Amino acid sequence: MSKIIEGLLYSESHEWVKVEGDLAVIGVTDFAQAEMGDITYVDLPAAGDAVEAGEEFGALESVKASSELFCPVSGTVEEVNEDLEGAPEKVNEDPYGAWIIKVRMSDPSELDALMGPAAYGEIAK
Amino acid sequence: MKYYDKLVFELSRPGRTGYSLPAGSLSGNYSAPWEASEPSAVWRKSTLPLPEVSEPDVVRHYTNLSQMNFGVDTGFYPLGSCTMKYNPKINEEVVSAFNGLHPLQPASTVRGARQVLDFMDKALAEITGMSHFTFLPCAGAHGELTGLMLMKEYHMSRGDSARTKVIVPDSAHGTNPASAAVCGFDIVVVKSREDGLVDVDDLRPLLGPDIAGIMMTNPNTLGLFERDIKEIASLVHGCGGLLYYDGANMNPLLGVVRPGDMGFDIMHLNLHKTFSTPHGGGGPGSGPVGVAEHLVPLLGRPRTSGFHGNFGVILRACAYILTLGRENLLMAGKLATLAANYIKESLKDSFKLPIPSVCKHEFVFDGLAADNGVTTLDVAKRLLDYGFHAPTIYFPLLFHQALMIEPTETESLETLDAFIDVMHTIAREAAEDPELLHSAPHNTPVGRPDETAAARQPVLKYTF
Amino acid sequence: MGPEGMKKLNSLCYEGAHYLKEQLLATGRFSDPFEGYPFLKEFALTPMCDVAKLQQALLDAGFFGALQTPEGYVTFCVTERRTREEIDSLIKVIKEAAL
Repeated sequence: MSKIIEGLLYSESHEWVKVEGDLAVIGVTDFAQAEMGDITYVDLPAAGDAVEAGEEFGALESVKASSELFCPVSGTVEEVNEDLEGAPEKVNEDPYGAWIIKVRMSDPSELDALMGPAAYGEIAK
Repeated sequence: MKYYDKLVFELSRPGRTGYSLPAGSLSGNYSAPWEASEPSAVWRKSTLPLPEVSEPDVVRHYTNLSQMNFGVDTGFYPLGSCTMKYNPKINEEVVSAFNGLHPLQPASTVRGARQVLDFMDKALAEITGMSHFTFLPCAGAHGELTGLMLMKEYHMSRGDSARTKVIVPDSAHGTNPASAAVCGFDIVVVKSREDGLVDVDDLRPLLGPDIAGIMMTNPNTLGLFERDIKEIASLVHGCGGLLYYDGANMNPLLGVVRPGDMGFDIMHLNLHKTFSTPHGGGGPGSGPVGVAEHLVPLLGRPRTSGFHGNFGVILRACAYILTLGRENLLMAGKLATLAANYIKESLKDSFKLPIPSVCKHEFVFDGLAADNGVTTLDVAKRLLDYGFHAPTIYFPLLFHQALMIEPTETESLETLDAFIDVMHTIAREAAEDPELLHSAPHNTPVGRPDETAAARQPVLKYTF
Repeated sequence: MGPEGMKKLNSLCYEGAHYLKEQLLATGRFSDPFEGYPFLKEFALTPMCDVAKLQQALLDAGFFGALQTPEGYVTFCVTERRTREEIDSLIKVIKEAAL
């Protein structure tokens, strides 16, 4: 059983969102990091980049595979987690602590399309 | 296989030589300027950082390195999707007869080479049911890109710029959507049914005026023949799209059925798979692209030239076709199919067989039958201890513990039986002593390398 | 080859190529468009003769050379495998051919 945290929203593609005002803090779930295996590289966008809900914003690379990251919301990238460049393993060690990007949302109503912890628990077994 | 980890630089001793050059009778007026002591903006002053080794050192070094590898000449190599058939050594003899040809030689002095290309064009056309081939692409994926560019050009030349999408089955090899993406297409995925074949009902709504075409492999990556291919061809052509055939799985079709007759418009072949040329671990390969008659003008003229693909590889494939001859070539596909089904039926009690139908040249197990925590990776590693190379693992993605086995037609019954025995043994070991498999291999020069560390902290250079 | 071997090999290329170029110019059938520019083992000359006949004469004598560039120069290359005798032989062919 993978770990799922209360208070976060979840996408079908296994990203989590923590809402801080109009800022969406985004990472990947415990299920995602376990599926990927040891992460060797995180492909990050740049601060200032525009992102669209449902569109690719980066990727995770592991020894097994490369997996695209899909943005749960639209807006502008406010900040990227540069720690992950030198230490990609943080995503494995602490998936809910190791945020990947922070997005200044252009349309917070998009959050309504995301799942709560219980619904996500159904798909992340 | 014997452990050897020296770098040639570690064998170097100052002043040791491994060459013997002529004395040269022209020094004097023509002495090279780097021999002189004036500074120069052009000629190198510092010494090249190359190792100084004798010829025996070099021979032993590379022989020892080669013994760390498992190749098709070492033992059975059932790597699914790769068609690791034996590489006949007569192909090498034929290649050496063409040594010394220069790509810019006048056409009149390379008639033999041009005959080889003409022969291959006719032979491959007859084998595949296509009209003509280009031999420019140097690899399978290179052939895919070439074929997709032809697809794009076909539509554009008819003023149809709306066709921006290519359909790809969810069982496709990763190079298919990758090549389409590199060519600028958007990818649309069509689902497979429970029986592993493309779901025609899922395909129908995807078709429209924005579809450039569909890329398919037949038999597909599960080793299953796409029985609905004629209907699929009719549907895709019906919406104005073209069909692209990924020739990686051509082996079982040799002499039995032809992609051209199935309705494919463009295809590539992997000479290093189906036609016995060496797998180079990345090259040199050859991915000739064939087209149906209505697309031949897109191939351009002339269809042969200097620098025309990997000629040495094309030459080996030519030797293979001529050596086998028509009758034996027609047997290859059938024997490959028989060997695959024999292994499948012999092992289906020890391993999970998700799709129990008759397969073509390869099939997929989904891990061991018993669920005891022993993974496909463990099985693959343990096979090395018994002197066999592992099958393809974790592809296709449809099955989480995928183990794809392709024996090819060049193995004796003894070899197949030996492999089957070892696989049964490993299944027994998995039940009795799983730890043995988790820590396999034990008898190879290198055990399980730390791939994560290698990816995170690569050491990519040597410091003198 | 090692560092000394590579140097020696390139010395042989340099010597052969510079000898050939000097001898070709001496035949009077070529001029030097790049006089003064350094080169290692390949060079281009301006032909003052019929290039097709030149190439055929060379081919008939077993030499593959005088490849033409898009600008119209003819190119030659000498590697460490060519002997002085072979170079002299090539020069003889050019001197004696009707170009």
